Amino acid sequence: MNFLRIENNKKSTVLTTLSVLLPFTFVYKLWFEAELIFNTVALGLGSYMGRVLSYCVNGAIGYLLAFAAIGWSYNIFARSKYSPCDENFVCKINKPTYTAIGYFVVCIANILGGTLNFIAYAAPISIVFVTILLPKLVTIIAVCAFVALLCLECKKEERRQLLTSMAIPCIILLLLLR
Amino acid sequence: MKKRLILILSAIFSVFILSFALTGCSSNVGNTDASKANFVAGTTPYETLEEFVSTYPDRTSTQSYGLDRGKDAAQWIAGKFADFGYETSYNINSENEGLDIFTYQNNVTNKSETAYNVVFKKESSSNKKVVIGAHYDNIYDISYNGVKFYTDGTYNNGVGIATLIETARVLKDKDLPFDLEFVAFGAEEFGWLGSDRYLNNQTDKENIILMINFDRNAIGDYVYMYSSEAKTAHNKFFYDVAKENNLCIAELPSYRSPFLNGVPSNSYVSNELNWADSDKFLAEGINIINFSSMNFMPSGVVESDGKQNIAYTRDDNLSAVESRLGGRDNAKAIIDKQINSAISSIVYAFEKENFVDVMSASKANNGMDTFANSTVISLITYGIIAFLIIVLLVLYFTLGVKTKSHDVYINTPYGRINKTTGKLENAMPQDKNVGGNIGSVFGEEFDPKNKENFDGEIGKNKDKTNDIFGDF
Repeated sequence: MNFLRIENNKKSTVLTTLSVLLPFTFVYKLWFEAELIFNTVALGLGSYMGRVLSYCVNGAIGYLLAFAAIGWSYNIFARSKYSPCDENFVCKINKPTYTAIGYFVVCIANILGGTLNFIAYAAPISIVFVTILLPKLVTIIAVCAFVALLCLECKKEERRQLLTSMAIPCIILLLLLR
Repeated sequence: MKKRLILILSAIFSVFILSFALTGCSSNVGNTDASKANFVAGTTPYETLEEFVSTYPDRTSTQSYGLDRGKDAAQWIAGKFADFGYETSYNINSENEGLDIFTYQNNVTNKSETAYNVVFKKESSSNKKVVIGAHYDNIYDISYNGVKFYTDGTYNNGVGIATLIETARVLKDKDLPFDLEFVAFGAEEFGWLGSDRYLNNQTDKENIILMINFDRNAIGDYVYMYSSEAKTAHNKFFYDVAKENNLCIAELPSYRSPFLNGVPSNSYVSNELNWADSDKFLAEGINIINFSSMNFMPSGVVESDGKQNIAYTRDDNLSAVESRLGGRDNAKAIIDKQINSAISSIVYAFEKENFVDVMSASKANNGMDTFANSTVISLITYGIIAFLIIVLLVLYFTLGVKTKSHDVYINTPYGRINKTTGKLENAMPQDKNVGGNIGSVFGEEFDPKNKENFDGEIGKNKDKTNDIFGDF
């Protein structure tokens, strides 16, 4: 994933694009919650405006949580005494790279989760499974993919360190990612 | 240029997402034009409704005022079924033919009262059974804010009984591959007691492949057809039949948006379920189809958007309904269209070859969506998350200890000093990675040639050497 490797203090089109896409993918993934907000809170605003507002607010909450989760988890990861640093203690996975990988994985997971929901809602299968278990499974897979991509950024012998240093950040991601 | 490209791309993407998302807005209320609908012939719903509610305006399932107020209406319904040639197991005497008489404790009058279910059937060689029902009782005299008024229950549930009778009329000569049972429930208004009674009498509930209920199924804006919180296979079967024949049947509001479909704790659902006789069957795990003409709004159930409610108001009278719908002719056209849509969807569904197979295979609660299963799935979900968190914590505290942790070093032009041991380790070339003014410790002057390195990565190291847990 070379395109996700970003040098410190350098502007990156990839990171900017992912940052822009991320909130929209949250709108896509969180349709159901947005509909629920619309039907319980924003119905008075009318069918169109109420929906647009609900979708935007819900997408924004999802985005802000993901933004906070990735930022905070990097902070924990970088501070960890187990983080894969070179002999000069420079963490090889810098913040822009970590953020780009995180955004990339979350974007893909959101598109996948949203599409799975869309397919599953139309099918006569358990809706509870679709609305509760499925999104969490997608989140778990996304976090695993995130760690896997981070592993690619490290040498083989550093992966154990990376896994250890990612333990707490993974908990943060699991709890905060919607 | 790149920025502009990103903006254009994100704008296109957002339009795509919003348009895709807002497909949930489209009203899936089916055809509303009666001229396009393929109705079954031979029904007279409005005439039946008129006769029923004008002859028996008081069908309250009590014996107050010295009257057995619901019995005449029950006998009239029984007479209709008997005329159509249906059979009954309830033959105490000719006066009570088809009546299942039961007593209940009326919580309003605090008396033991008598109520009647009307039960007729047509048997087949199969042991599978379809039950079609509607409650016939109403609450005739209502006091509201000290003012008493009377309702003939045209909407609740004269239209349901008219639909039940007309369905029986159409199906009387049809050869069906399952038993058919028609039930007019009594004492629904006192807590679905008629359907309770009926279910308690059943020894072969597992053979009931479907229960169809009519409750307030005409007069409102649309006729909705639903089966559960979520769209089920049997609901889809009926809705597809309705669409094929351009019938005026709407999907439930929560079904219209694919993202509300069957969501537990959704306010729609709480309004849609647990109010009709069919929900007693649903609670027993029996497939149901309920026809109802209410716009299930989150704020409450209304028949028509922007209009006063009908049920339990003085407007639940035939004359008030006619006036509301623009006179008798308009009312007849609307009510006939709505009732015929329900009847036709049932008749056409029954005629499908795979009807019994689909109904037998379909699950009343969409397979897993009972409360217990929902709880189990939720527990599994959060259990998985909790398990993962525990695993990660264990990983952190066990694997982490085994991993060689970083000691804190101080970089010097001669190598690095382990801050813990105080020893010089890994001597480094002077022209690379010379770090920090710590050189002065060794009496060396800071080399300005290495300023770039110092401000760059090594500069961070300097912070880190001060506090490895510091934010850098």
